[in-house]
Amino acid sequence: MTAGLNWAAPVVVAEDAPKVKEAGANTPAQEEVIKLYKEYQEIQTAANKARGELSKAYKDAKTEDEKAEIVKKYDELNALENPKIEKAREAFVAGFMKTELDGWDVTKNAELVESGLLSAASAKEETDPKAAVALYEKFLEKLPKARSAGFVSGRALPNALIATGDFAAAGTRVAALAKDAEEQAKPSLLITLGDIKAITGDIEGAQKTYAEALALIPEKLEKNDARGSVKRYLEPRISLLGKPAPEIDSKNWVGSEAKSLSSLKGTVLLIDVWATW
Amino acid sequence: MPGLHAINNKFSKQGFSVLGVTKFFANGSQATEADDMKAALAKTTPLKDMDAKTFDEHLKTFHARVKPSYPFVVASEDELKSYKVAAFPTLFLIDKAGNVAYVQVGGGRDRALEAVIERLLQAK
Repeated sequence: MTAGLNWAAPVVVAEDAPKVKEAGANTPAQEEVIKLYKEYQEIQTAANKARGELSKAYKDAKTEDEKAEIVKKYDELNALENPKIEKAREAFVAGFMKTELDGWDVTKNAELVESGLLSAASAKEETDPKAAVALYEKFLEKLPKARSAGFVSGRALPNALIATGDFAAAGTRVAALAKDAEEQAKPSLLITLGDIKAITGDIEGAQKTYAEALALIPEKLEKNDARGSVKRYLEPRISLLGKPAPEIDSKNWVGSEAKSLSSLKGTVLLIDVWATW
Repeated sequence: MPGLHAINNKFSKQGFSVLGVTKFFANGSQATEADDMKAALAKTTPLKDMDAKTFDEHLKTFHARVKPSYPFVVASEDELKSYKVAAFPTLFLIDKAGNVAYVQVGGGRDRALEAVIERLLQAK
């Protein structure tokens, strides 16, 4: 049921983030946030260490009983620690968002600002996508070279732009992001741009943009190159957008008497291709 | 699935419907018996090495437990192949003329889906 891509997947903050450097010229409010960030990091690091130890013990376990015992401990650890981590993260992000964002010296506090902006933006995605867009834009302005910058420009910001419902503005911004993107990241952004065109009813424009994306993906790719899946995700778009929906004539329906797709003409239909795994 | 359930409820009185399309898989996961959809989907039980008949039973039970406001259809291998799907879920919005108007790989862009549905419903 949860298989496939989840565009709104929560941001995972890197586990191995280095400790914040002590900085000389921080304001008292910033010092307070640095303290909260350290607490959050420490609590997370400790939990990860405990998880790592249990994972290792699981690998070394000889009997099924031992394994079951370790799984139980692992679940208990998560039940105990995850709310604490979440609480510490929320306290840090709340403190961080109260500070003047432009007041942070990102040469000294890059990891903290990265973590704070990502967490704050992802928390806003559902309730206030415009605020999420502003935070992701702030991220790219302040931390264009950060580890997560590719994730922000390639996925998080475009999706937040779409979530605002202002598709004209989203199209303009995503086109600019695609133009500025590194070669590797261009196809995925062009797919999103094509999607935005399709959303507004510009099927021809969408197909042109999809074709442009496809042309940028080399024939031969390394196995771990993300453009391999990008290419596979292009296929249903290129093959079907603007074309008649392929007939489904199966009589095996659940929750309704059997119909054919063609009998639904004159209505709007959303087909969700899925699996229970 | 909860997202599409909500979208179906929002537009189903205006000439709109949702159809969950799947095919036979030997593996799957069963929803739990629960009062609401989220709870039914929160904890699922893996199923392995099903034959076609067992799979059909599994899907019926799944539908009965999750209670989506729309039906499922078990398409044939060939029918599903014609949709060129590479990831689940992949969504296709079909206009009144029966043409594909929007394709979305992955869930979560409900704002986009709603915008397209509204536009397609207004078209003649």
